[in-house]
Amino acid sequence: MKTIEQLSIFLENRTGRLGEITQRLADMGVSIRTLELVEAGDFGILRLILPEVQSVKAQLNAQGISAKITPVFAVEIADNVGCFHRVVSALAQEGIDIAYTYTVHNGAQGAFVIKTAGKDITRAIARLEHDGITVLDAV
Amino acid sequence: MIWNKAESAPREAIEATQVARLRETARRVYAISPFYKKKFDELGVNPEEITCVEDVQKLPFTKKKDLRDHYPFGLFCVPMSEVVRVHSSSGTTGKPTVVGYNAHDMDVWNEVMARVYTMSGASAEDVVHNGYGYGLFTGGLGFHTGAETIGAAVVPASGGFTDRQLMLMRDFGATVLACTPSFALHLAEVAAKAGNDFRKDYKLKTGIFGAEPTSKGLKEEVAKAWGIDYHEVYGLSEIIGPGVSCSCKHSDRLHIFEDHFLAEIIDPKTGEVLPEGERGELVITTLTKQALPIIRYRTGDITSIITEPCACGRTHARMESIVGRADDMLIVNGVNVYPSQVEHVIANAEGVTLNYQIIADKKGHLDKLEILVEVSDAILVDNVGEMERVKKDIQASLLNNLYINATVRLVEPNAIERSVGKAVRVVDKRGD
Repeated sequence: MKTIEQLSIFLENRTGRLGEITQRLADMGVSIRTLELVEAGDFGILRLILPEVQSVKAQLNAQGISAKITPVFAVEIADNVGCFHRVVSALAQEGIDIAYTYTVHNGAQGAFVIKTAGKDITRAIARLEHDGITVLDAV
Repeated sequence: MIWNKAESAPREAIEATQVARLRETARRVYAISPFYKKKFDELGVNPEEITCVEDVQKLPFTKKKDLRDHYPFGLFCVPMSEVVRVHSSSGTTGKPTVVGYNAHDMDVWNEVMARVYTMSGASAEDVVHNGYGYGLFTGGLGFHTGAETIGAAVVPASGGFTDRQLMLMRDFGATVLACTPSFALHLAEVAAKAGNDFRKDYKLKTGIFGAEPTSKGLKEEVAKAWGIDYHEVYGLSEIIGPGVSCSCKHSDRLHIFEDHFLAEIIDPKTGEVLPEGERGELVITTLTKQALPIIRYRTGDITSIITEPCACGRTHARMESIVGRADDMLIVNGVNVYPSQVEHVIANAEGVTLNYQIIADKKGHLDKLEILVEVSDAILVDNVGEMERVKKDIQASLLNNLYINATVRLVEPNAIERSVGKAVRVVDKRGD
């Protein structure tokens, strides 16, 4: 399975809260690969892809921070016009809804990180690979 | 003006009426209600032994829990064919408290409300703007039929829709305003946007305010904002609704309609009756209600009672404006809320922890309630829409079950303050 474990952390929307989390991650010596912050009024969700996610989650939970592991997958960004459209339309044809997506860039390589309903992930990856789209093992 | 000469009867006559009616009420409940028969028997009291007002102290207390345990009609003492009206207030664990009236009870209610209106300076000449909520609450309909009883024209405005209410008050020439004090102040504030001389557009002369605890400062503010007399009304659905007592123009204290309600002040911890003038929990026995007579109801309200004569000529004893609660009940925009009710709603919400905190605060002159709920891994679903749904579900459930509009805010685990390991469930920031 080419799914990637993403860590989602609940954040109250108040000054300094994000800093408290990033401080803890730095203290653990964690290198953050990708980061996305979603804001919804009085709370937000911080989505992270990082190494040793199970251990990080356990440590955060032990410190009283609510965190959850969510399976996502990453698709390579081909350097041509319309590549994201091909991903989206393939999933649409399969009847698979994208819950959310964001992009990451790591030097020369870029990827779309995609979240679908858990039951759809295997089918989504199979369809994209069938279409010649590269699904990454890691980001 | 005094509506009924019973209000100015000599004290001995009032007490004689009370003893006779107390004995009759005790006889009825003992004969009809298995609940009361059991409680009387356990204490070994016989209704025939009641020979003075003090004998009420031999009778058992009734609590809100007793009404809940016999939901919905278990404590009614008349057949449903005789019941003409049902009201209810929110209960402490989901089920509401239900009260019923027969035609005679409606007459009693209208009689005491007629006294309230008359004491407040209202008569058949007046236009009463009734801003108490209509529906299951006793406020709206109690004030409504009471106004009809004195022959006044009543405008059934109910709650909300501030601008429309102000238009009706202006266009219909309302002279009497009946609503919660916080809503009266809110109305004045919105009306004042038309200019500081807004009062020239209104004909209000008096107001009858109640359903929420009110400081002296707030009363003066309402009276000044509208340039009207302030009369405070007290009541609770378990006893009858509004109309248990009301303040006259000579005193801040409220005359209790003692020919219908027997009031005592007890130490809420020991249950012992306290000497006249001392503060304690108000306990009321209905003397004339038939559908739902109540013996020694623990109101949970803290007040004191004095019997000294009043300049208005009424001889009925006077209670202080409620100074507090014997339990943890909150009153939010006139609606009674127990933290246990909120807990019950949260416990029934899916995937939510029971770590919560209720914050009561003011937004302008109106109360607002915010419920903080700690998230856990169970509630965190990495889906903003889903979490918003959890919030909205709890809000809708609070509105449906407790009739309160609350804002739900999801907070991080351990965000809620704990003192010695125990979470602080209620924070009331509404103090003056």
